[in-house]
Amino acid sequence: MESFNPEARIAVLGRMVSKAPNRSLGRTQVMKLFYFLQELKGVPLGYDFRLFNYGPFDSEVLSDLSSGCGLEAVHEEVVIHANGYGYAITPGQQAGLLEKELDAMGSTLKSIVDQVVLEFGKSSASELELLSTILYVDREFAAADVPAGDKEITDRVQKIKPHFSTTVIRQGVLNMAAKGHLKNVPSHSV
Amino acid sequence: MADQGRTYEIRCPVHGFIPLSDWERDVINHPAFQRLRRIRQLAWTDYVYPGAMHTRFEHSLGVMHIASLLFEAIVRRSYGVLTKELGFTDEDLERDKQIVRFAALLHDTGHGPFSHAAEDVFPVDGKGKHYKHEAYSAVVIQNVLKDVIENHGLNKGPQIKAEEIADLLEGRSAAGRRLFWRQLIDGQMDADRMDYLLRDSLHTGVDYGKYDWRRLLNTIQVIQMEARAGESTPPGPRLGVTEGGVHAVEALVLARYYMFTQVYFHKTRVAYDHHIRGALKAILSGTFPPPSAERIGEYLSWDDWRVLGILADEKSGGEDGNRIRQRNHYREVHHTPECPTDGDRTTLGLIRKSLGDLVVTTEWSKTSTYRLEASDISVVTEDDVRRVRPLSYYSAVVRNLNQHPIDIVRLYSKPEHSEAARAKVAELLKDT
Repeated sequence: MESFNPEARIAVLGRMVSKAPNRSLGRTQVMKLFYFLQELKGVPLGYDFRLFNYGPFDSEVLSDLSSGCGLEAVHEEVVIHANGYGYAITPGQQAGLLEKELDAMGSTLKSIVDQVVLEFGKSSASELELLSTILYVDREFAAADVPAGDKEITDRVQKIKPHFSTTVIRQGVLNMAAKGHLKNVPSHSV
Repeated sequence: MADQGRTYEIRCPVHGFIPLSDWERDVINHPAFQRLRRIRQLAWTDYVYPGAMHTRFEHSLGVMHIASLLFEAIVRRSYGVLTKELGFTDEDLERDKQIVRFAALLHDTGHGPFSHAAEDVFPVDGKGKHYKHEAYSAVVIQNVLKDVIENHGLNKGPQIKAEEIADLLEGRSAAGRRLFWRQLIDGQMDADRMDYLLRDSLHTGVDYGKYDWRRLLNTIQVIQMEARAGESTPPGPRLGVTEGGVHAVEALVLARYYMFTQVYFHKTRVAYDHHIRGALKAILSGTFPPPSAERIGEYLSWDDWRVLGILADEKSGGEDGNRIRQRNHYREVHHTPECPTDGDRTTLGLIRKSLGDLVVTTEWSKTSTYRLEASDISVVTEDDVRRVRPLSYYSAVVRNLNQHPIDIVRLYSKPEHSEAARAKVAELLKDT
């Protein structure tokens, strides 16, 4: 299957935002939800995620977000809070036009997007940074054919994200495994 | 500081003297790095800006230099956060600096002929996507350059492995905590971008790519956001600037914007990008092997010189080869404004339909290698409160660029049909 073009990805973005709690997502949430869609569900978005200390990232997601704003498919505002800042990405004035684009891509895509938003859409930016890093590490071990259990994945993630405690990381690994998301740690083993 | 042995300096047109260690000089002297002298930074841009003959060689030296300056500035300004909160030791920092210098120096060693233009004829990976030059760079570092990196006398202390450099460059989890430095190689304020804007600006002869990079160095630091209410852990640490650096980073964002519109997405440059891609397809389709240790030598045997030698033959490269030889490129017959309205997009659709076969290629800024994404860089106040805000909070210009991104579409006709095409466009535009 061919990779999605930018318009199709913007249509997926529009759907994600419309299905998010309070119809609003932050930039980190958008980045990581796209990563889960591509990696967990096999949606051929065409992104090339690389690992940073804040998790998998592809600047093309931000480019699509920017285009989505330009087309008024989504709207983005900076949200300032006491300790820092974030972003609120909400449906734009032209959000409805994207429904047609999405429909043209098959009926199952919408439900896949909805599933991912339902599962991860309520998680905070820091939780998503952690969970997506866990998934990235799992996939790397699997691609290299290196046997790795929850301990090896936890240790590797701990080195990347020293500001998380081992307990929190391990819990994240077990949660992802329990849902059947990890190739190295089968759900029946946790 | 570890012994650097004898040190050397290379004169750079952008940065003055770039200091090197004996170890780095040996890596630079390796044929796999010297090959970058034969790959031009901006492919066929000299057909528009005749000065744009610079190569990936000098750019790579510049990236190493800037990465090193950024690294030193960050350590100087954020030593406490790096050591106490992120757990770096002095020894880690010294070793990481050398790895960052090598990663910056070698990041482009996997480029094919005419830089990004060759990527369309790269083989596809298991997911059906063309490999990127970074994948070849990683193989070059881990195989071709392994010996010169690992077996130099100056490596007796740090024991740096070629694989560690590739891990950082590729964004592999084995890089561990060192992934933090990846922002210096690939990020909003990375050394690659900081160098190419200045260098491309100098060689093309435009002033659009200039910004106050010294001020940026003077204000860059690690920014730790606090956890939000109800959350136990804050997001990971990021690079940002203090409030005094706002206009330096704003100028960096604007430099990208100007360089994109004036150079990288210049109508004639875009036409030649199309032609070189076409010529490379005609000459090289199926030629490049996938990135692997076994066949990397075969890949590295291709550079601009070899392709130019083939293109000198008047029968090679098909129609695109002819157009390059004769400087007879496709002509732009219509383009949208930088931020088109719905009306502009409707007009574009009408024009495209009306021109039919007269349009031979449509080029979209969104798919350009140099396209701009929504920029935002964290800024921390210099008072005791240390509030963190995004650049777009301070800069209305950046805020507007994020909300109204560049979205140019260019339509091209063959030169022999361009007059007829433009007349049709003029006719259509009369009624809009």
